[in-house]
Amino acid sequence: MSFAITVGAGLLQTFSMKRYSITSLILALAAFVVIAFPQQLSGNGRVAAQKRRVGRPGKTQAIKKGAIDYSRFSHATPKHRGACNTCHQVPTSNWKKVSNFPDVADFPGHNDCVGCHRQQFFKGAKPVICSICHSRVSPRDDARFSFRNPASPGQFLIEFPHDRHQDVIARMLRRGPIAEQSLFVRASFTTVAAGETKHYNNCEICHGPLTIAPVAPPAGWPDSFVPDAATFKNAPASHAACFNCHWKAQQPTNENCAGCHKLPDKPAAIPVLHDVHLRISLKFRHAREQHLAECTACHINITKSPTLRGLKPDVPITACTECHNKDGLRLDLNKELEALDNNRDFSCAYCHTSDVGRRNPPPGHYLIAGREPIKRRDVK
Amino acid sequence: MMTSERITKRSTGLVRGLALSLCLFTLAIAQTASAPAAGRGVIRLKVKVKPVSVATGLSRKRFFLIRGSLAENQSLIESMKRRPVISRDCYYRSIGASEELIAWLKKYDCESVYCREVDSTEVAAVPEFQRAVAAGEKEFGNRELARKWLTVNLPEQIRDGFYKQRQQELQNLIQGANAKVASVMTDLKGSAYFTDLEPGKYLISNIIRTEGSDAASLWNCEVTVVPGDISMVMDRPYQISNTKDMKPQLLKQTKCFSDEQPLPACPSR
Repeated sequence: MSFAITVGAGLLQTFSMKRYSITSLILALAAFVVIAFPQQLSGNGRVAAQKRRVGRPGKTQAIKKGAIDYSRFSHATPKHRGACNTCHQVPTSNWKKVSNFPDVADFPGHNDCVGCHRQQFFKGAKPVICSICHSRVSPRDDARFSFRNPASPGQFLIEFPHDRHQDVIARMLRRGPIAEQSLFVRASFTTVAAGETKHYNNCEICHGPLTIAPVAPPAGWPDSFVPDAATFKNAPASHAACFNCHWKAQQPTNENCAGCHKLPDKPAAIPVLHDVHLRISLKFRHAREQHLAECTACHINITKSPTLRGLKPDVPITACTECHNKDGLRLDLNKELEALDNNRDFSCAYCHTSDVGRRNPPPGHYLIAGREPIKRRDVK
Repeated sequence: MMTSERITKRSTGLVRGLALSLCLFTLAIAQTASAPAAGRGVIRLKVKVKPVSVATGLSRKRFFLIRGSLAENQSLIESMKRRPVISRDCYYRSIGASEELIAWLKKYDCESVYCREVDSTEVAAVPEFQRAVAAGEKEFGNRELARKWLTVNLPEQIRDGFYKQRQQELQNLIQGANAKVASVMTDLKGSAYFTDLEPGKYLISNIIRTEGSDAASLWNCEVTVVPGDISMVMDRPYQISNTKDMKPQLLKQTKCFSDEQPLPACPSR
């Protein structure tokens, strides 16, 4: 989980804000108290800190062109690149209220910001800087976004040695009594008793089925084909999948945030939602019964990469044609290629939506079908 | 209060949205077209271990691909063979692990405590688990969490000493030979693929002997990669084994056999 807390100004507008009428005297007094007694006001815990008022509310300041946008927080800012525990508490004092394990579940306190940003803290009736953490900028409301704010873009790349975890938490399936097995010592995970739910090695420890429908891309689903949740698998998106082994002792531990969270050289390196469209075969459903197989049977390169960087869960066409292009079974690929022979505008629709299906089939498709590769433009 | 609830709901939705986006990304680039570069080759490895059957193989084991022929890698191979075999049981005995822990590892075919979640009954049966859960309960105030996070309160040598020792030896061997290697892990049926390879001679090896019930196996098999698509190797896997005790048809398909070394007896405590 990233510690990014950048907040889009637009989100602020989604929440109604009350206007308050407070005299300038009270404001000055409040400001004096905050400046003079920051420690007392912030207390030791985040909850106390979060109850502190930040000044008289008012309109959020408009951001002038070229000016610093204080509604956005960036870890890339040189002065924000200190040790993580300079600002972040691990675990936060609210973890028992919002989580079932010790976690970083809240924003840093006011003290962590006001040391440098005192001026922004007391600028105007509704200081824009407050909107980074607070869902409503008001002295009477300490409501904050959930941490990490899901509306804010991620700021970190996750360093994760995929191969090492595969080695350590591998699961072995046993088929029959133990006496009949070749007892190779390995990183196994569990013994699945006969009749128990099917499990397929170690991948599903982290990559289970999606339980909620995927979010449509900004431009909508191609061909209005809406994939259901069963189409995809999920991936760990919180500390829950990490802290059970890395809370302490096993590096990187909870005190070593940078062991996993790396600032990229370029912000564009961080994946965004619409990357989902890179999936070539949107119609493939992982949860379909006939598709229940060991993950590496199709994702043949997934154990090769040592890290997540450059990791491609690519699937060769042979993984599909083992069933979908077998004589006497089905000849889905051949049928599509034959249709293309007769109509250059044919869109391969058995596996693909038209954004992909209208492209030239790759050479591997022709090879596996035992045909000479052709380009659409050559179809008469 | 109502507004707060609305925000909470909205935030929950946003959290879900973000989680989903991260989830989807992992699979976002799935099934991308992976046409091999022209002139590159593929190896489909299949590892059969005794008792050999058509359907089974050595699952969840990492194999390495090293550039060069057997002769070119002779020095590295000799180093692999010279490495003393330290069995799992002997390692854990040597660091003073309880017999109950050793039995637990053996029962579940585990190299380390990370390989599976320990249930409540097993906590009571293994002294190391009891101590770790007691420490966790004191730290978290929650026995169930302490059980689930059991490994964070285990001594380092018990936790990952065996794995680290093997990894260190692996790295020493690879770096000592200045070998350029790639690795893949076998699937449930003992299959694995090395893709996008330059044509030439390679060595397929497990580098560190793989421990079986009575012997440790070391594979060093020379394979020649020729240009070709994955579809060309689907019906022609490069099959290796640790035994010749198999049906003639399977034996005929097996290209390479392991060097076997009996597991040593553990020194007394």
